[in-house]
Amino acid sequence: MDIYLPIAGISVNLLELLGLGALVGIVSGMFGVGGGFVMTPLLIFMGIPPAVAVASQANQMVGTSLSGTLAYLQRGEVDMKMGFTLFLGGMAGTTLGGFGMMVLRRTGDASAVINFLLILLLGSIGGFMLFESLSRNKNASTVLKTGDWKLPPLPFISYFPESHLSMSLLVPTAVGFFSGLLVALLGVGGSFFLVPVMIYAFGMNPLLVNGTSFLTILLTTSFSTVLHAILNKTVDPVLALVLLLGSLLGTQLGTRMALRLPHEISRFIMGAMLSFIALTLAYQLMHEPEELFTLMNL
Amino acid sequence: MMLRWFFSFLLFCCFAASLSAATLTADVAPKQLSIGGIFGGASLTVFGRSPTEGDLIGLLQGPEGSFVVHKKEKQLVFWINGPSKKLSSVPRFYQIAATTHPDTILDADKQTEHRIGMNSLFVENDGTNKYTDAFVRLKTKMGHYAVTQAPPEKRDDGSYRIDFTIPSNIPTGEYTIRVFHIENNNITASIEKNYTIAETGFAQGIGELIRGNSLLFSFFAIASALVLGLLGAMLMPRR
Repeated sequence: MDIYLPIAGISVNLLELLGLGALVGIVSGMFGVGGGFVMTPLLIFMGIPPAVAVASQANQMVGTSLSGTLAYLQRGEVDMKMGFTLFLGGMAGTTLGGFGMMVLRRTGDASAVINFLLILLLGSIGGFMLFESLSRNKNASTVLKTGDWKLPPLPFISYFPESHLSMSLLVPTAVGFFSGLLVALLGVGGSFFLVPVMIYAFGMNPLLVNGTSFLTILLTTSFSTVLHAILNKTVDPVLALVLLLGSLLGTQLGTRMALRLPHEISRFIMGAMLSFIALTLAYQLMHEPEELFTLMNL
Repeated sequence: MMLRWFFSFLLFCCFAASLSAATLTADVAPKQLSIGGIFGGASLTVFGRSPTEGDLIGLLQGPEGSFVVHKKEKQLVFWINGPSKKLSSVPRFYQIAATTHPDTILDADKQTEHRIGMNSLFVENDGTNKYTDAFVRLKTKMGHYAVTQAPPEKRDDGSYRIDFTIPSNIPTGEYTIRVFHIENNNITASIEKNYTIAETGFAQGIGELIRGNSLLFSFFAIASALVLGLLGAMLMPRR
């Protein structure tokens, strides 16, 4: 059964789309990440225009991050000040990314740039996770601890009472900026980047990290949806809602699977999966395509 | 006397021509095509009467638009977009049905004049054939440019039918349906019909909202994701 996507302007198989959402939900539930880095390339493989895939993915993440935010808020495990400071930087990053996407769409380079950035991001994170999961098994002393990444001294020091931390406002703003860029350019929430930075660089209590990450993503993806809708008109709510529905179902399954899987193995699988996607995208960019021409609507 | 004969002959020719034109009729079913919600493609049938002799060519032509065709080139190790060519006023959709291949029944000039055949669609013919060829190839791959699966069906009683295939990704807008009757390398009769393929219901509303008020649209998109996310959180809470 095909469903018509009004903004993408194409019909796609409803079950395939729900399945894709569920798959990403399983990944999200198993590994505790948003799964946008898997969703965006798979949507592009399905024939969804890259700009629509990125923007609709941001819209979808508004829904997925809401349930996470609410769950952690109920437990009091969200650093609100940190979340909003990260969002402040996120707004700037999303704005820059939104305008960047507008320019890339006009020049016809959106697809190549999205793929290139995904290769860099997924390749480095996937490689790091693989390395870490393998070395963790061999040598426990290589494992990073909270606050291991030392930050340089910076002005505008502020106290974050929920985390009992003092740090320069510039640090979370800069991190939020990068996260916003990822959302706007790649449709990636950035939890895989935010969570380790908050733990290892900020030295935050790991209990507060997931909830704060969800809140930041909720705010940043909402802002990104507004920007993409206004600047690029590429948000497809039908696509977003079908993916969201599949994702909500998949997350439940993924969460149950995660309980049965040892942490090291799940990190290894995650690292291998990211590396595989990065290698596939790299092969596509580096291998001479069968069709040398591409078409762009004006 | 000669002048009277000449005018009589001219009158006869006009009458014969009008009779010939009158013998080509066309109607379309369904009367309109709406896209929305669940749409996996459709079929469009043009039917009517035509002279029993000769050939028929049917065209379904979509709204015109501008496109850029990029050619990929290897830069260092990556294949990325290189030179490009803009193609203006080209139909977004073009489907042709012919009882006999147009090249064998109508010369190239007449095909170009009436935009019959995919090679007749491009205004720019300044040595950029590789781009126009690529355009046709890519559009064909998308299902937007095609020769119908079956040729027009002509019956002995003078009736005919042409079946156009509407893919699920057809661009919306104002379409033109044209039917030509060809005999002895001449277009002896032709008929043209306008046809609208439009989004309907929710899809139409979404399209109008994002074009008319994108800020309101974005609030709607966020609100619907929040509602579904909230429902998910209530029905399937995270552990």
